[in-house]
Amino acid sequence: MSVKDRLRLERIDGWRWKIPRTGAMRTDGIIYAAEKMLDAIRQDQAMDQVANVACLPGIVGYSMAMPDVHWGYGFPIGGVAAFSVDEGIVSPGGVGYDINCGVRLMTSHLQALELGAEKIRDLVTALFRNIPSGVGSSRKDFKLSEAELDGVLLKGAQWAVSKGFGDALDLERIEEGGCIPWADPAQVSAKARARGRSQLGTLGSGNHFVEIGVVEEIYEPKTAEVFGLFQGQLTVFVHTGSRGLGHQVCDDFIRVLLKSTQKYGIDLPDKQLCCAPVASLEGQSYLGAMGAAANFAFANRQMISHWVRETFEQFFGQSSERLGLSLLYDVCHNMAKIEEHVWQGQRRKLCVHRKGATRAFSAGHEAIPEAYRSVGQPVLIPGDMGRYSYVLVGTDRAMEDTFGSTCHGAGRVLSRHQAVKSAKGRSIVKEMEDRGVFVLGASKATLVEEMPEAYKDVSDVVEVVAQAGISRPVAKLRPLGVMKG
Amino acid sequence: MSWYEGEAMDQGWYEIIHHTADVGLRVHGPHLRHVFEKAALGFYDLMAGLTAIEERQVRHVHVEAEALDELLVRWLSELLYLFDVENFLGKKVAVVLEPSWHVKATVHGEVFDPQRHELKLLYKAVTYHMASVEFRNGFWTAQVIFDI
Repeated sequence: MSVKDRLRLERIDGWRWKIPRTGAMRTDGIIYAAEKMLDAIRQDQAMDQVANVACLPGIVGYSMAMPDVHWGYGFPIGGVAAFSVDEGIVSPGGVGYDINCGVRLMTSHLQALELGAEKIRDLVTALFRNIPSGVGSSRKDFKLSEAELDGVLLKGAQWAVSKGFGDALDLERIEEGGCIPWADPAQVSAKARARGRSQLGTLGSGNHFVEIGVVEEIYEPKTAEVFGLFQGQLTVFVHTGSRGLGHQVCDDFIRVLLKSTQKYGIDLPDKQLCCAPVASLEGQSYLGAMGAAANFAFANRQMISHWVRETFEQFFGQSSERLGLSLLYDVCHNMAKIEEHVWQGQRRKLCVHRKGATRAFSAGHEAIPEAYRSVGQPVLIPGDMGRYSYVLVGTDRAMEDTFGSTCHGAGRVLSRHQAVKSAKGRSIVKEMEDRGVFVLGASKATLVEEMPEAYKDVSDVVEVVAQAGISRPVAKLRPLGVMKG
Repeated sequence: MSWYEGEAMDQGWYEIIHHTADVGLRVHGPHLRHVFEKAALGFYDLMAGLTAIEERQVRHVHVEAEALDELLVRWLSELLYLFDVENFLGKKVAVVLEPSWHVKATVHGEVFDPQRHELKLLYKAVTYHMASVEFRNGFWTAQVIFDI
């Protein structure tokens, strides 16, 4: 009998479902989802993956999945799991290939709808010219020396700011201040360095994007005010990660950890869950390399934001300060972090894996920028390119139930092949224009693969996390112009 | 047929495996080296279309691993690395396989030229998920999934 046949799903309430512990599972699985989402979740092997993660040593609490869950390599995407730093493990399968893929939101003083469709179109086109994107993109005018690359890997966005890409205020508004302090560049292979060197400051391809949007609705005016959000405001999302460097780090360490899994006698239900004890040499090496790749991603998003600002300055003939183009926040999606949490009344040091999930700390937490500490951490949830995106805020319930975590986006429902098939004979660009969204892609194929119906409706995902209380909606944003990598 | 299925696909050199968000390929051959060669050609075909690539330069690739499925993943990962770092696209591949387990290969091709080549798929990584190399009924079959 396969694992899938053995897995039962028990309803906890309208928004949470339990996979009761069975076989080698050390704890229960918990899936956050509305009933109508369950069929889609059952279609791939995401549930099995939630159960597989529950088998890993030292897991504390539950193996969790957010409502945007879908199949991933090892952990499901949308997976959250915490492990004891003493008895638990760290796994590249719980982080993903694109280490610190993440999203940041910039706000402005501009009223988006006053600009009109033509200006949005020109603005997206200008962004497209200034930010390298797509397959194999690199900045020809910007080459990093090995020493500079060490600076990037060690300091992240702090390195970028020290080179004039942004300012100190930006750093306050990035998760971890834009720098993972335990990064160890010495753990990053020559190959990873070579893959990353020419890619700093590039968007990449696939689901990565720069998106101009408008704040369409405010749900929580006081929090929105603290975040600097107002109705009608023009906003800019940047979504990208650590590019080839992060992928190579993941690849390198899957190889290393496949061996250490045997060495430490860890039984694995899936090879892609290969891991090592957090405290072991291999575990520490991976954390050091992962931190360095995460810093590369922080620097990458910081540089792209700088070019967004430059583009706006050229376009509007005003300084970015006058345009009020400031960073609201930058969150990570693919990361394992050492954090302290209270679990069942006990304060514990944990290695929290969030793969395709967002940290969502509640008000008062010292990791939140001072400006936002009274309300909680901003949580940024981009949707697909045709519908909505959301800004949420972290809650106490998230701290209690999910180690301060929530969903990260819409989650794919169609394979690329299915998307291509369903787009046959249609013009996605035209359809998007009819919806009031101007899209520009590095390739025609990207736009087809990224069409809205390839994704879940992000509003459904947000409803689940709001109902479950693990984050609260603050504002809804609508896209006006999208540049896809 | 998908837009990215190239001419080598038409000739039945490989099959595409469709996977949510990702794409993979499966190849068959009478000898082990054939499936490693075909996997590489499928890799380039999905990426840029083999007919658009010319044999102008050569690269020598050497990888080793402890198991065959790992060797397949490492082999294609090395080709991905060559593309990421040198923008090199292969057209003709000759593989020599040595036991436990080495690939020694010569890859003829050229550097990506945006004027003549259209890149159709970018692989972020070659994954171990479902990666396998098997011998059945006198034929070798290899399959691999790319993270894209």
